[in-house]
Amino acid sequence: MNAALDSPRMASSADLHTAEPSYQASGDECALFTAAYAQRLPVLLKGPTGCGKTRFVEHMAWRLKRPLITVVCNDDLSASDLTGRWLLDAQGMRWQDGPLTTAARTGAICYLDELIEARPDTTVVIHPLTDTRRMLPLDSHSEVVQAHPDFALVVSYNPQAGAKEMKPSTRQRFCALQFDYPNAELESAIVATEAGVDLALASDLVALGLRTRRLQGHGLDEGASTRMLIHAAALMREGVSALAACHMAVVTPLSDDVEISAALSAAVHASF
Amino acid sequence: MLPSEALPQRGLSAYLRALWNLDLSLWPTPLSANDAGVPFVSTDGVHLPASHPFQSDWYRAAAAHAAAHRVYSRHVFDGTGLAPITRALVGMLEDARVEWLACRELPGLRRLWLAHHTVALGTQTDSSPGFEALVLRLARSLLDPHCTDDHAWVRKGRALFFLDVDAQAVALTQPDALRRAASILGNDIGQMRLSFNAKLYRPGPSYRDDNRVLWRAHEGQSDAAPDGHDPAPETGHRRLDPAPPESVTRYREWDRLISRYRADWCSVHEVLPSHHRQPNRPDRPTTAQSPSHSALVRLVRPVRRALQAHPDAASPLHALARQGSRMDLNALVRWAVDARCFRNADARIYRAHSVARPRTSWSVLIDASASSGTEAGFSSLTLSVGAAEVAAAALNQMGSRQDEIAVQSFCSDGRHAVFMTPLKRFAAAWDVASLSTLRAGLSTRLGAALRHATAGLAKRPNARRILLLLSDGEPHDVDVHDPRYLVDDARRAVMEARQRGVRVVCIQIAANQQSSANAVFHRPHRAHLNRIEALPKALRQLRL
Repeated sequence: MNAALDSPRMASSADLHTAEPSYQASGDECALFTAAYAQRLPVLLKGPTGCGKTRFVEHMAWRLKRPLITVVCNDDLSASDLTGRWLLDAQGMRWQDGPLTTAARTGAICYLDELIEARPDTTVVIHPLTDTRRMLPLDSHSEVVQAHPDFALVVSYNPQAGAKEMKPSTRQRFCALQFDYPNAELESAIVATEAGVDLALASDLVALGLRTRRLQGHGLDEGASTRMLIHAAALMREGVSALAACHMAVVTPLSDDVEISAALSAAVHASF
Repeated sequence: MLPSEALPQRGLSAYLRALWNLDLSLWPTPLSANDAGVPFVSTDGVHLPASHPFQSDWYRAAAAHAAAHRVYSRHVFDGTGLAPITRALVGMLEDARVEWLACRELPGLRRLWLAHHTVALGTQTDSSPGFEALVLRLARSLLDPHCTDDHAWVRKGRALFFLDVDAQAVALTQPDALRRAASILGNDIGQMRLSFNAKLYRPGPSYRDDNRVLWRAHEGQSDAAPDGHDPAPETGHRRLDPAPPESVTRYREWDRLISRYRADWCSVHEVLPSHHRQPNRPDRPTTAQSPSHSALVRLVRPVRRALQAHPDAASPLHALARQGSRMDLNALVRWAVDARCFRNADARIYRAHSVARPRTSWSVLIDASASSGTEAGFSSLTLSVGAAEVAAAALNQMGSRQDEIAVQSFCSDGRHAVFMTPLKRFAAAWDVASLSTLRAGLSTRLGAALRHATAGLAKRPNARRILLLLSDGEPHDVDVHDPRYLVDDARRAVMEARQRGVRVVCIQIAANQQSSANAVFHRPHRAHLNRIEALPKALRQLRL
């Protein structure tokens, strides 16, 4: 399947995962997603960064045995980056499907990561795909693509203070699942499995993660994500000391503010 | 330097919030007291010395210890009938207990605190140590599990405090047990004939607070600090982040004669609408006719277009791109011709995305000085307010939540009385009350007003920040007689604003062409406006 457009701005992937992407459910989100997919309802995943949204979609695509096409949206991503465009080659013009069109034609799950970051025209383009019409009009190709029966759309969104908001006309088309950092016990287990460290170390890291999340809104936009904690644990597994690993994976990436960094650093020192 | 500036308040607050999710207020200790260097905990929060050149580690140790009291010291001791020495020892044991509990949760704190326990250990048979030294040695040996101190009294204290020799579990978990242990240890001190001066004693090491928080208030003499000052004095210290309804901010001013800034020279009072009328302020109502409502409404759309015009959008340099959604027909034909002629064809055949207009914060500054009042039946103040209203409506109509606008008026009466009245704050509606009470009066200290508006604008998150001044552009004030002084200062203020990423532009309202504002604002940053209908044109003349 050739889904990747010749675009440096886009990370697209379309593959049937051979190995199961590990995901530890913290609720009934897997069952809910399966039900939504059975009815081909579009799903919106909400939650802070690094809490497992993307991993969840990969896991569900594997479970449902559907190919997954992921598009990471940025503020320069336009509608034609999703739908496709005319390209020039030696013979003249050639139409190239975009990742969304490919997914709609072939019946893949299309995952638009952080859709709200993309240019406003992209959100409009997905509207006809998300209601009962299930079609994708390609104006410049004079074509209306009827979505494959297996096609489904998944969108993620990080609601954050000060960030862009999703328009009601878009958000009302989706069923939504709220994601958050898992509870401390589960998060420790995830950190331990993903990074291959023992549970005691993982729970110390998770306790530190909880401490940084308390500073959310008090100097930090977001606390340390599960992903960050896994990074720290992975560094420690390489033999880096706990203090150095937490500095490199948590304190330094989290904040540029001198005072907040110093406070975080002191909290790391207090924790180990 | 003010004492509060030495206290690293923000970092410490974040530290305590991260450690224990505590929201504690931090205060400087009163400078007047003899023991200004001793931290203490009160119902208000944690009080730390501000004027001492302590290291940040010391502050963290003190703040973490005080916070540990807040988290773990649940019992309030009753000191009635208790010997002063027992009282001192109860405090020391409780300090050790909360620190031990805190270290169980956060093992790194032991390192932080131990660094301040500098008393030497293990010298049992030297010339008999004093009470203070012994207490410090016991305090250290209770915190450090590997410590060995041979002194019998220290060993006894350690045995009473811990259940086991490995110092893994604390015996004194109940307040009564702690009190009993303190009284046993106090008796031994008496047996050793060591003197104890309750007046001079204070818990050590220096990061530990004076433990007044452990004892029931309104007790006898020993509850107050040793020199008898009020435990939580109302005077002598001030809140670090005061938020009075009317805030006063001081700004520097450029003195052209000495070519230097005069620090904290002007006081800007942000006056709330209800306090808008200053007692001695001349009230000169505007008599001129305001621009009619319908005239303003008609202007909104042209003003919107003028504001939307962004110079980058029209730039031909980025018009074509290798990738895009819309093809440029001319470029495509050129490419096809080149390709058929076997020439090196330019593959940029798409129209580039128009540059997205960056989010903008606007701050409109209205000159409400006396000169803006009625002049031959014409009020430039009403014209300014009308222009600001149209601009706000136009931004609102653009429908983007990204642009925001604040409007304030200013006037001055000497350097310590620069008044600024918010008429519309960012992300808020117009303050109708303040609009209706707006009158022309007093003078124009432009530099201070520009600095205040710049400071407010620089805090906004948006990438593009524009300060729009609506004024007749003649800076003057009652205490300045040099006509060039305030002009030079205003020019400086504009330069400072530019350095802070704020673009300052001026619409001169009904001013003559030879206004001294020409020296402050140069051509694309300045436009003239004599009637409200010319507002779109004036805005287009400005480089926004």
